[in-house]
Amino acid sequence: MRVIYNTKDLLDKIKNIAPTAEAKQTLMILGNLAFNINGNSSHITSSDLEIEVSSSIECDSEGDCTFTLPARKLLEILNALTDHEKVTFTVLESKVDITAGKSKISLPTLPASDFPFMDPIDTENMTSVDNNDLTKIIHKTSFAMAYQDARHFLNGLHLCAQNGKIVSVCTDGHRLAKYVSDINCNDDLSIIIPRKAILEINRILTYFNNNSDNLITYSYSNQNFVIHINDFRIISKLIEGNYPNFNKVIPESTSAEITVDKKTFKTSLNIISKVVNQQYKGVKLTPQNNSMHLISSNTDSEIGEDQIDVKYDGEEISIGFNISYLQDVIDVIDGDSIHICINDQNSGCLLKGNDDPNSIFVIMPMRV
Amino acid sequence: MSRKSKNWKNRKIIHIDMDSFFASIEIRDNPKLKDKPVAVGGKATERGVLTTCNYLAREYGLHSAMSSKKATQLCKDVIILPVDIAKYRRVSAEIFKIFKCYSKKIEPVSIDEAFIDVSDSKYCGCDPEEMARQIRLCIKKDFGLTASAGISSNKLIAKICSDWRKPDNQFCVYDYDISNFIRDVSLKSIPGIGRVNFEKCKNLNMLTCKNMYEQSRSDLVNLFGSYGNILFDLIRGVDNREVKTDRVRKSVSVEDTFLKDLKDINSCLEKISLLYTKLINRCESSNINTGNIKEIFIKIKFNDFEVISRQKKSKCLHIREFENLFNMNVMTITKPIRLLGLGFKICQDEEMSQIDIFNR
Repeated sequence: MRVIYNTKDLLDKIKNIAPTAEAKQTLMILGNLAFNINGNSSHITSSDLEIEVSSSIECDSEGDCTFTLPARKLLEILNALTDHEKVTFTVLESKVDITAGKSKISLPTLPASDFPFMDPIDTENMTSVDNNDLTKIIHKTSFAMAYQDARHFLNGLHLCAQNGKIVSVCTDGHRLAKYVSDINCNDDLSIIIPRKAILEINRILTYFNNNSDNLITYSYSNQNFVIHINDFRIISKLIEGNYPNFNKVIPESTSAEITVDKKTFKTSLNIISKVVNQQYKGVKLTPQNNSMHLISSNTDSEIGEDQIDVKYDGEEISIGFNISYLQDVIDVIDGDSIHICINDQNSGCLLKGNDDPNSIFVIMPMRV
Repeated sequence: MSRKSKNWKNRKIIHIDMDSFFASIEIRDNPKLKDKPVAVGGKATERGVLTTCNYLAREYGLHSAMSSKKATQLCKDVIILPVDIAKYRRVSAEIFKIFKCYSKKIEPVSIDEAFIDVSDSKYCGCDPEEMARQIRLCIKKDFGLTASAGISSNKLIAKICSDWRKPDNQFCVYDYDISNFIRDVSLKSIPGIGRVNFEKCKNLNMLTCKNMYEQSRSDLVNLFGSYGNILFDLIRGVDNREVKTDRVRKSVSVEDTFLKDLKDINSCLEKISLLYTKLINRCESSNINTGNIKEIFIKIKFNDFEVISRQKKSKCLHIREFENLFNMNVMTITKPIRLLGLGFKICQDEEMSQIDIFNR
């Protein structure tokens, strides 16, 4: 049976679906994409058992059928076939011939019946969400998600309720980002969406250029989270466990405040970062008398220093930070200036933007 | 200043080592055990090993880390008692309080061993030998336990000395006598020379420190790698290591000896998963910061008691990292596995360390 696609349209879909299927899978079928041809619609799905990403695309087909194809291989082949407007899949018993013009590639298939589709989630009570709100939730906090941390509940983005609004929190144990969104929600919301699902959602939002016309709806149960972004659907298992009490680690009061121009600070950190110790990435900040000294060095005896104007009238103090953590916050904080609120060399410091009332960032110092 | 204090031009360091600590506590608490060979450890039927044994049991050839099964073969009357680590910790904490009366500079080496730097202590006419005697007397009077002490001007010699007249005794080597004393010390007593390195030394006809004096610094580096540099000083009794009061935890590990040997990869992976949970629980209960991990390691002991350990650089403590490390190094099980262990090393760079938000 033959199925004909527009090559570019198919490639665009596969680019966003294939990354979920990892190359090194324990189950071979997880390296494949599942195709479900139903009339003139083709539903394509990838899964890693934790996340399932799928979307539909128009096609010309001679009938209904299902098959699977290796995700990465297919992506490479389609990338090579972009000169051809159409690509034809000829589905045979245990292989699929992919033809475009006079080119033909045969790929063995695995039966679609073996594909581990996730249980369908109740999609009747989907809540819609504004594209900008969702983008901000991810943009403002996801950089602080942990990666493969032993505290598994940190390896994701935590959504909870505060005064009827969705609050997003991420922390990797070294820094924390909290953003209070404008999205209304139930008071009992408390879920942790895995890191990989957040990255997939972000990729698809970026694919649609974070367009405000995007149609986005979501829903969740005790175990799963589902989100529809236009014609893409992402289902993810939720991380089990309780998220730690993040309010406890956000300093309630601080003893001194450094106010620094965001652009100046960014430029200075960028210069210093060229010689930062690649393992620890430590930079030492020493504010004193409306000025701040920055210094970093590495094991090759390379030293970077800078002096920038700030507003600070507290006592001289030297605090070390991971330079990347500071840069990450600068990249997402709104406003021209940043307020760095400190207590001492061992306590978390609070970063706030002058035009960013809904975001709070905490960075723990390094012992330098 | 007493006459004896003239013997001390540099530091004064006491090394206290409790005599068969666990076994002695058990015997103290149950006097019926006195005059009997006693050990503390796991049961012979459950493939346990001895943590310690009293001196009577040692006469039969028993020693710590020996399997309980072998111990009962060597000495059929040996009484093997279960380990009550909570009790030993309580006693240890009380004994350490005695040390604190003599100096603030105390470096715990283990539950039953510590270095005390008494260089600035004015007690006992500034005489470290007298201080050691008093400490041992206090331990005996207050806790009914005996300790051995070594006294010298550096940690290496103090430690060797505490072993010199064991049990319930002490030995002192003054500054001027160190080079004489160390000459005839077995290389086995030098830290860093374990079973493998000692074999290497034996093959080169080097058994005591003086046998190694002909080797230049670079010879030793060629033989033992960068450790050769340290060894060159140690065999001459030179050791400038400070008594560190803030002992930094260097690694954390857990291990388990199995009732039945593991014979396939899957059962090993199952055990790794259990050990991983144990490791994480240990970190949580002991407030160990997992944010500064340098490398992770696995330890495998086969049923013929061969032990291998494999490590890899890793900054995160994820179960997949341990599974990968195991899978990469153990393709097939060539001989049954008796014990598995997991652990990680903590970054010791004191210049920089990231503070954890939940665990300061």
